[in-house]
Amino acid sequence: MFRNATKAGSLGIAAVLLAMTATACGNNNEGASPSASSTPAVSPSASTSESASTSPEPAKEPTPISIYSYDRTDYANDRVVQEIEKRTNTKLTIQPGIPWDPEQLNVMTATGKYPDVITIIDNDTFDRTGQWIKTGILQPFTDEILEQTPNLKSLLTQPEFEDLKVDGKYYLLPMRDEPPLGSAGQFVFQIRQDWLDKLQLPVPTTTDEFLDTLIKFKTMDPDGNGKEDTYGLITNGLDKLVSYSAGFFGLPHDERSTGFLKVGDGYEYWAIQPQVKDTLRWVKQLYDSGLIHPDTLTQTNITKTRPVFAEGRIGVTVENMNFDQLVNRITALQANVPDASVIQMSALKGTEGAYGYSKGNGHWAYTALSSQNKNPLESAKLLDFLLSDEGTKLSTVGIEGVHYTMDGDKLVWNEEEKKKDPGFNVNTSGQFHELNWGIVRWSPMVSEFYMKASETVVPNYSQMVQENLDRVNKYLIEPASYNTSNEEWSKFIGTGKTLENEFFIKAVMGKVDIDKGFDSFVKSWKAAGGAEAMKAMSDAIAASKG
Amino acid sequence: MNRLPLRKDLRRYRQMYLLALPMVIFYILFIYIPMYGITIAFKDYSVVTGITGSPWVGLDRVREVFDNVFFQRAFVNTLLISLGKIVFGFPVPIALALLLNELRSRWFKGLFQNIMFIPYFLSWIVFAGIIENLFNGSGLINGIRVNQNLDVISFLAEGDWFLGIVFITDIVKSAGWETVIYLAALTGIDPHLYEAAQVDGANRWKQTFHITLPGLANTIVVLLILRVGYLMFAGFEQIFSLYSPIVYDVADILDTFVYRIGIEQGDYSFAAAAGLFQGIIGLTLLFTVNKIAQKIGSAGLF
Repeated sequence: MFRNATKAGSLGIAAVLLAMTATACGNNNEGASPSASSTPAVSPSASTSESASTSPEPAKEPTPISIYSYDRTDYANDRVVQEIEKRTNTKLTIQPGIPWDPEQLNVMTATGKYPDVITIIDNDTFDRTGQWIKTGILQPFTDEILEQTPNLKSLLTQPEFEDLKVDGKYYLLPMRDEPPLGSAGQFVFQIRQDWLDKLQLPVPTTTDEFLDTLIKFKTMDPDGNGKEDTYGLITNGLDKLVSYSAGFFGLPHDERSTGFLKVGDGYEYWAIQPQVKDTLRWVKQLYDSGLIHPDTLTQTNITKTRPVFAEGRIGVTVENMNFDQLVNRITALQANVPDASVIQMSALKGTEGAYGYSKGNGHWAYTALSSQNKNPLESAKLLDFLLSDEGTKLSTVGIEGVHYTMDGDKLVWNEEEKKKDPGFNVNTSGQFHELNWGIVRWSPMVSEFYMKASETVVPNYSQMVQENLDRVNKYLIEPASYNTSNEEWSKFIGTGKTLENEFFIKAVMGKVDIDKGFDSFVKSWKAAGGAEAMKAMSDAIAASKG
Repeated sequence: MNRLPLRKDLRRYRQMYLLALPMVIFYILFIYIPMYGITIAFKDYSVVTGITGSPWVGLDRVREVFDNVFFQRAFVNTLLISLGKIVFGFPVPIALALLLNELRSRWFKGLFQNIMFIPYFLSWIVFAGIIENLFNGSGLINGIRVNQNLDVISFLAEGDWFLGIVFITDIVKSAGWETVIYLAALTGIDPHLYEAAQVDGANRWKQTFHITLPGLANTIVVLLILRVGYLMFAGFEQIFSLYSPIVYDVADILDTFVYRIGIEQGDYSFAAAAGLFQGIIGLTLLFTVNKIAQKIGSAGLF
């Protein structure tokens, strides 16, 4: 989902900050208009759409609401935005041009000036949500608010989000992922089916078979150009490759869970488990055999690996399981290799015990009300509207009769009208409107409505989604906790992650012996505060499980 | 030296003071007033309560900084990279200025000077993009190596290569600018000295060693003092745009460490404590080197 995080973006923080501050105060009129009704997408229970759409009293002034989200186009007089404003009696300020770089939000909060509604991306080096709740940057969705926002309430009170409560209050609206609940976490192995076909190889199912397949990809000239210039695999970092592969050896871990699993009577962090050594040995084999594309070593941003994969000389990428992105990946590849195809693979068997991709928590990132929001109820009603069927459909396909018409149950786009509204940005959102993702959810790709609409452009979209989902979800393992947070752990994770990443990289590159290095890594990890932090977290998880 | 009373001085040199005024205001507004924020190094800073509302914690955060394993490494890396840049980079513009000074063709001299100067105007982000495209695994140089059936070298992922690239690109980026400063200083040398030396039979080498270099000495000392004053600042933009976790071992400097802790991990007090330490060392070095320079006969910086 990281569409655009760049280092350049980080360095431009100051400029963006100034701009943010200016617009947050200025309440500019961005955005524009309209539309209609339909898919649940968010959660099975978030189906009614009464709340915000019917309530505005004509005499009341629209409520100004500033929103921070990522990778936004300048909506100018976009009619979908205007229609949302009309139906929710709000005046929205959505700052354009924010890249996928959470550091900007960090700086904004540090200055003490931040918008009313903010979307927060957590990662495994900074527990933003935990710290910002503690320091009072966020305000809760109170019971009074939830009583008036049925869709929001129905989402938050789903059992899987119970552990999002802090001191009995809900602060965070979890943004539901594209795949259905219970699917693998986001990053999965994706392989060139056309190369497998050409070399008459089956899809590998074990870590050993995978190694053999990649060796053949490297040596048997799958691109047919007569040169040995192909690679096995690319992703965004050797350390990341180790974490993406840990599930094959029985360690349930993905960046959106706590990374804790049950060990004995307590809970422990995945990176210090002995199975990590098996994972490291396997990744080292890939590295030593020259199968890993060298850009994997230096590119920490997955978006930068995409054009390299699209060149058509690499067999596997470890990437987001977002299906629209899979379509984009294949399209980009076909510009260079017309008959190319890519499929998402099942998890590889690397151990006799349980293995699989780590089951995801069903959401990524959060939307929250900031403590500077003077209109929390109206803001919550806006979010409630966007979660509703009506809001979902409006923010996805625009206004019926303007941007599309329905021919029976078939959607027919009006491309001319779509071109008039900047929110229909093909570069960031394909054929859909940009507001369908990143405000209250990610694109509802597995909803029937979304799939049908997608088939107007990608004929076998539903089938493609289902086949890939079946493969990816074939073998799953589950972490002990997804959302539990704890102060000691929150303070330690930055240091812990740096120690972990550096050890993984050195071990894979052969700069330290895996066995000896692992023992000394665990020792220094614990000595740097990991032992106490892990114990505190273990207690917190135990407490959350009652 | 005769000193004028302040009022007379202000009146007499009012145009000079007027010229300096914008920079003075700039420094007051953007350098001195924000220094108040340094206090968060001694507080448990919270964004919501603000600087004044956050509780004092004494030297707790400073102690945490010194205990941090990555801080110690960043400190060493900063010193090594800065010293490397001085050792390899400092003589280059002096040599270039001397060489350019000997050129007869003004046209060629101007052209060469401009070409050297261009990288100085590129931002590090743009420059780093060019470097990445040259040295990456899929970059131009490796493309050529693959065509020659040579192994790919991950220049930006191997510590030694990485440092080499840091030193060389620093020279390419900044040598042009410093050369101009030296060339300007050269124009200040009295041409009569050369004429007199020629009459005495001094060849070009002797003129260089006995007239040109002594004439440049003050400028060299000033630039060296400035360089040493920045010893604790090894080039944030350059390192930040080129490094990745794979080379943290040799490339993580205090600036990047402070950035990661402060901006990426939101621990502002810790980052401020580390940054304060960096500033104090820098200031101490600046004063020390300036004093030494004065002792050995140079005018120094102030």
